[in-house]
Amino acid sequence: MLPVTKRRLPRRTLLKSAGIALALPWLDSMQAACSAEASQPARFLGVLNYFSFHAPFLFPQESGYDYALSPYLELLQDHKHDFTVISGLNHPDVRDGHSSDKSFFTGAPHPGSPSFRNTVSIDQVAAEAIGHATRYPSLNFSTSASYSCSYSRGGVALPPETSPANAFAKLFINGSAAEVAEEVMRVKEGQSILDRIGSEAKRLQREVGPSDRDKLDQYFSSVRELEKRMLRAESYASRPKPDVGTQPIEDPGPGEDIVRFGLLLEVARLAMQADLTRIVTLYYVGSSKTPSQPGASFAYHDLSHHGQNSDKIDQLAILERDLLRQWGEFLKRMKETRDGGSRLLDHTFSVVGAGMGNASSHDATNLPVIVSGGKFRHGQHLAHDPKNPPPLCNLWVHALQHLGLEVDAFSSSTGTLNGLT
Amino acid sequence: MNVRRLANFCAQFLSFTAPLVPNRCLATFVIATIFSINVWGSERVGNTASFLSSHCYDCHDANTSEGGLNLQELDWQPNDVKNFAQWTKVFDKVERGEMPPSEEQQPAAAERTDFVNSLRERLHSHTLNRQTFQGRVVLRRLNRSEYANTLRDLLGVTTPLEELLPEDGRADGFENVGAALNLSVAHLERYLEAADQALREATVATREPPTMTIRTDYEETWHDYNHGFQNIHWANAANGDLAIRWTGSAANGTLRAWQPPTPDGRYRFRVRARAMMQRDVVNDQGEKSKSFVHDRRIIAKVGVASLLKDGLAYDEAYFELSPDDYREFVYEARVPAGHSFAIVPFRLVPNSKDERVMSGDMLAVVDWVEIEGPLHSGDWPPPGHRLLYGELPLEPVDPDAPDDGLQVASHSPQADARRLIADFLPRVFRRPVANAEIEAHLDLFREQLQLGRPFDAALRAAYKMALTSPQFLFLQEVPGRLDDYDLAARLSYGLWGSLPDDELTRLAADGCLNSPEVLRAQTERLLSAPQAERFTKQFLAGWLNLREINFTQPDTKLYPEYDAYLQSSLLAESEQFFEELVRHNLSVSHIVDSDFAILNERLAEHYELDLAESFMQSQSDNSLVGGGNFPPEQSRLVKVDLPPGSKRGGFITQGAVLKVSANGTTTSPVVRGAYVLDRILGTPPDPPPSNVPSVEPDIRGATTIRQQLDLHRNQPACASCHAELDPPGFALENYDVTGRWRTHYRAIPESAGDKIVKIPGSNERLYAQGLPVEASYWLADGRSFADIDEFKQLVLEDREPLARSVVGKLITYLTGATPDFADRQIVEQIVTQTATSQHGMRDLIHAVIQSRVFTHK
Repeated sequence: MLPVTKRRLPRRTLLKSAGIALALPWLDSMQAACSAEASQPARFLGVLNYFSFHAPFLFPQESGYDYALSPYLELLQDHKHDFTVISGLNHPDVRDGHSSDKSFFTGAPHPGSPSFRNTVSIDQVAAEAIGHATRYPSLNFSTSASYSCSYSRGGVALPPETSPANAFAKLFINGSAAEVAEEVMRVKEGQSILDRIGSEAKRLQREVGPSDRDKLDQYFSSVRELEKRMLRAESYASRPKPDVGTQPIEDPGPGEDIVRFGLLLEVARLAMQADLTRIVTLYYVGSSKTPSQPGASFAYHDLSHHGQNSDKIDQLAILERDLLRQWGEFLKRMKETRDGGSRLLDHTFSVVGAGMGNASSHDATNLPVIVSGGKFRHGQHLAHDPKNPPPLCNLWVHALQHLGLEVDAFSSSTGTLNGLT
Repeated sequence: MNVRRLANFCAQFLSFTAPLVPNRCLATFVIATIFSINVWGSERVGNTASFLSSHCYDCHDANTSEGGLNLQELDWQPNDVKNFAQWTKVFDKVERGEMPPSEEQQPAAAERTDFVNSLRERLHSHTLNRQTFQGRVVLRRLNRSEYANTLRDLLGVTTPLEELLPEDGRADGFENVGAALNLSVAHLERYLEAADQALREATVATREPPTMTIRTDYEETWHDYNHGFQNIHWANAANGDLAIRWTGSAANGTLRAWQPPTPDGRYRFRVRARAMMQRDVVNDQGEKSKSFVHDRRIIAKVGVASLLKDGLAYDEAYFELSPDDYREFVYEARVPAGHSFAIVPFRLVPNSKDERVMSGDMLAVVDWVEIEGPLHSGDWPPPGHRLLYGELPLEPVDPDAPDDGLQVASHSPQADARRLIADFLPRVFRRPVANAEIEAHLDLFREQLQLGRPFDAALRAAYKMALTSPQFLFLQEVPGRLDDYDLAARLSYGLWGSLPDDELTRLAADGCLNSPEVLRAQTERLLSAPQAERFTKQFLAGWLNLREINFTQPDTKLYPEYDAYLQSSLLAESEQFFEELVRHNLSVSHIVDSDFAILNERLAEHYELDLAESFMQSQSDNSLVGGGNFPPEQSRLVKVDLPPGSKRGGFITQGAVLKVSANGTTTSPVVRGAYVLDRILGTPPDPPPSNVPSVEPDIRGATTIRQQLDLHRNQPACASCHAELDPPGFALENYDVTGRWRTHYRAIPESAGDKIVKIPGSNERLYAQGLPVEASYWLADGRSFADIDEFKQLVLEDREPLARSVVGKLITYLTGATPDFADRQIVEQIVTQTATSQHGMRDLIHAVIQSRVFTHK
C-alpha cells in the first residue's frame, strides 16, 4: 500500500521543493496563504468516453493560453478559464483499438493481447490511500453494466453502478427501521462468514505450491479488505444519511444514454459535496441502440466508424456535443457548489478523456483530454508533439499528487506533465 | 496438506518422474533445475554456443540488437517468464527456418538440427519439471458462468446469477484459465450476494403452488383488461382472431400483466398462430381497399417483455408462421416479476419473389396463448429445497395465520443441522470433507441460532459460508496425477461447465474414474448429453471469439438487411456446425472447408443459396439436427449439402466468424488475417509495432483498403509481417462485415454518378456500388491463389497445422491452462495418433482427455 499523507498542501509543490533548503520560507508562506481552503479535502472525478471525440472538432488550432475555441470547445466557452485541453498524449504500448480503454486509467501495456492482465487504476490507488476517510472509498459509475474503467490491484474490472436512481438511494435515502435492522443483520452475518472463510484460506495456503498460493493470497487479502468494509458499513448502517436537499433522482428511459450520463455526473457531484467519497470514475458507453437525440439515426459505435462520410460525421457530432454540454453543466454546478470558502471544482481534479484518438481508424494516439480543477492555471491548449508523446500517466501522477499521495510515478509515467502548472 | 493429498502427491510424483530420470540422480537433477538460473548462460557449451555466435550475433548482439533481441546478453533464466518466452521464440524461429533470414548464410542442416534438439530438450525438461512439482494448471477459480451453472444445477434457481458477478479475466480468449482468473474484494462481495439470492430463491415458503394454466384469446383481449394483449395497432381479422402488427413500439404484442401478478419463475407458453398479410385490393369498380390475405409465411419474434419497466425483451426466439393453417409452438422462458410474454411479426420468410412489403403489412394472427407456470419439476418442495432442508416439515410462521407463510421447522435443530451440513458440503466441495470443515460450518449455524435467527436462516448462513469458501470457489488440485474426485470435477467443468453429477461422484468414490476405459465412457456420456451445449458455447466463445457476436451493429445504411434473427441464426449455425463435427467425429479439415452446412432459410437467403428443396425435404424426412439442445419447436437449422460453387463450407466462411473479425462498417484484411493465423492456423502474429499508424478506412468509395494497404506494406519494415498477415485476410475480402458474399464494396450514395444497387428482396433498401473486390493474392511462400476456394485448397494440403491448433485450444479450455512448452510433445502425439480418423473432432477431445495434460494437475 502507498504511504498516506495527512498534510493538505498540493504534493506537487512539496515534491518540487523537497530537500531544497531555500524553499522552506516559501513553503511556510504558502501554507499560511492557503490554510483556509487547504482544510477542504481534495477530490478526483475521472470520465472516460468509450467512442472518443472527433478530433478535428475538438482540438484547437493554436496552442497556449491565447487560442480560438474549437467547434466542440465552444460549448464550454463559459468555462474557458476553468479547463485545459491537452493534446498529443498517449499510453506507450497501447495501440489496441477498443481495448485501449481498459488502460485509460491504468496505463497497462497491450490491452488487446490475448492474455492481457490489467493493472490497478488510479482511482483504486487513491482509494487505498485516502478512501478510509469517507463512507465509500470510491464510487464507480458507468452507463453500461458490462463496461468498467476501474480496476483492482489484481487487474479485475470492478463492477460499476449504472442506475442513477440506485446510486442516489444508496447514498442519500434512509431505509425504514426494518430495512436498517436487516442491513445490520446482513453485515453481522457477513462478518461471521468472513472470519471463518479467512481461516479456511489460511489453512489451504499452507497446502499449496507457490503459483497457487498467489491466488489464495488474493482471496485472503480480499477477505481482509471486505472485513474492513463491513466494519465501516456496520458503523454507518444506523447513522442517518446526509440530506442534500434535492428530490430523489429517477432513472432515464431506454436509449437516453446521455441523460443517464448527466444524472450519474450529478450523483457524483452530490456525493463529493456531502463528502461521502472523494473519488469517482464514470464511463460513458454509447449503447448499440439508436440514441434518443433527434437527428441521430445510428448508434454511437456505428457513427464513430464514419469512414470520412460527412453525413455520419455530422450525426456523430450531435452525440458528442450533447456529451460535452453535460460536461459543461457539470462544471457550472461544480463552480456554484461551495466547499469551505471556495468552489467545489477547485478541490476536484476533474478530467474527461478517451482511450482512442481516432475511433474511425481505432487509433490510440493523440488522446483527447480535458482537465478542470485541481488548482492548476487553466485556460490553455496544452499541445504536445504527437511524434514525441508524453505518457498519459504523467497526468495521472498530477491527479494522485492532488489527492495528497506522496508519489512521483504511476504505471508508465516518466514524471509529471510539462506545461501543466 | 491433508493425508489423502499428501499420499497422492508422493505416489504420483515418483511414478511421474521415474521414467524421465534415474532415481539415484533425482535429487541432484531437481536441485539443478530449480536453481538453474544462469546455468546455461554461463555454460554456452558445445554446439549451442557456437551456433549462436556464428549465426545469430551478427544481428542480435549488444551493438545491433535487431528486433530488440540481444542474444549475447540473453542469459538462461527459465524461471523468469519473459526470459523463457524469448528462448522459446528463438527456438521457434530457428526450427521453422525463419532464422537466420534467407538472405543470410544458412547453417548446415545437421548444425541446425543439433541446435534445435539441444534447445528443445532444455525447454522441454524445464517445463516438465515445473509441471511435476507445481502442476501446469494454476489454482482455478470458478468463472461466473461456471458459478451460475453450478448453483442452477444444484438448487434449481433461475435468477441469472452471472450478471451479478464481475467480468472474468481471459487468457488466449478463454475465460476459464486459472492464471488469468483473479479475485478481488468485489468478487467476494458479490459471491455473498449471489449465494444469498440463490439460497433464498431455493427456499420454499408456500404450499405447492398450483401450476397455473391460463388461456387467453381475442375475446379476452377485447373485453378483459387484465388478461389480454397490449395491442395498440391490432387488426380484427374478420373471423374473430387477434392479429398483431409490428409498429415499432416495444410494448406492442405484449400480454398485459396478470392480476394477481405472476411470481418470478420459468413459464411455458403455447401459442397457436398463423401468418397474414394486409394488401391493397382493387375491386370491380376500381375501388382500392385494404384486405387481409393469407399468402406469405412470416417469422414471428417471441420473447419476454415488460410494459411497466424498460420494455426490453429477453430470451428472444423466432418461429415461422404458416399462411395455410394455424400452427402451435411452444416457448419456455424465465419471466421476472412484472414481465410478460410478447409476440410480434418480425419479417417475411424469404422467397424468390421480389416484392414490396412494408413491415406494417405483416400480421401475426394469434388464435390463443396458453401460459403454464411457474414450472417446477413436479415434486414439492423442489429438489433444491430438499437439498438444503431434507425432509423437514414446512410449518406456518404464525400458527394463527396458517395461510400467510411457511418456514422449515426443526425439532432437533443441532442434529438436523449437522446431518444436513454433512450432506451438503461434500456435494459443493466435490469430495469427502473433514470433520473440522463440518464443525466450522456448524459453528456458524449455532452462532446465528443464538443470535435469535430462525432455523432456516441460520442454516442458510452456513450454506452461504460454504458457497463463498475457497473449497467451493477454487478447483484445488494436487501436483501429479489427479485423484478421482479432482478428475471428476475437471471433466464435468470441462464438458458441462458445472459440478459433477451423481454418476461421476459415485465413480470417483469407487476410485475407478482414473481407468482409461471408464474415463472414456464418461467422456462419451457427458459429450452426448444436453449439458454439453455449454462446452460448445464456451469453447467457441473463446476459440473463435464468438462471445463478441453482439459487439458491433453493422452500419444500417450499408447493411440494412442485417437483423437480429439473422444474428441469432449465425451464432446457431457455427455452434451447431461444431456439434455436428463432434457428433460424427468429422475431420478438422471441416474448419476450413466442408461439403455441408447447417442453415435455416434466413441463412440460406443471406448466403444466396437456393436450398428450398433441401428445406422441404428435411421437413418431410425429419432429418433435423440440434441433438435436443435447442427447443424442437423453434425454427430449426437443418444440415444441407452445399451446392458446387457455394463459396461456403467450414468455419472461416461462416457469417459469425466473418462478423466478429470485422468492425461493423468495414473489413480489414489485416484484422481478419491475424484472426485466421491465431485461431485457425495456430501461428499467432506478433503484436503491431507501436510506431506505425493504423490504416484509416474510407467508405466514400474512392479507394479500397487494398490500395491503402499497398502503400503501407510496401515499406520494407512492414513487409515481413504483412507477408504472413495479409493472405488469409485478402482471401476473405469477398465477404462483407455481415458475412455476405460481395464482388464490390458497398458505399453510401454521395453523388448522382453513383451506381445504386438494390438489396435482394427489397425495393426500399439501396446502397451505392463501390470499387470491385480483389481477393487474389499469394501466401508467404509464394504460392498464389485466385479466390477463397483456391486459398482453402492451399491450406488443406496439410491439415496437421489445423489439428495442432485446435488441440492447443482444446487443451486450454478443457484443463484451464494454456499449453506449456512440454505440452508440445503431447500435442504432436495426439496429432499423430488421430491421423487415421483424419483428426476427427471427437477423437481429438478424447485424446486430450486421456493425455497427461488432462489427467495431471
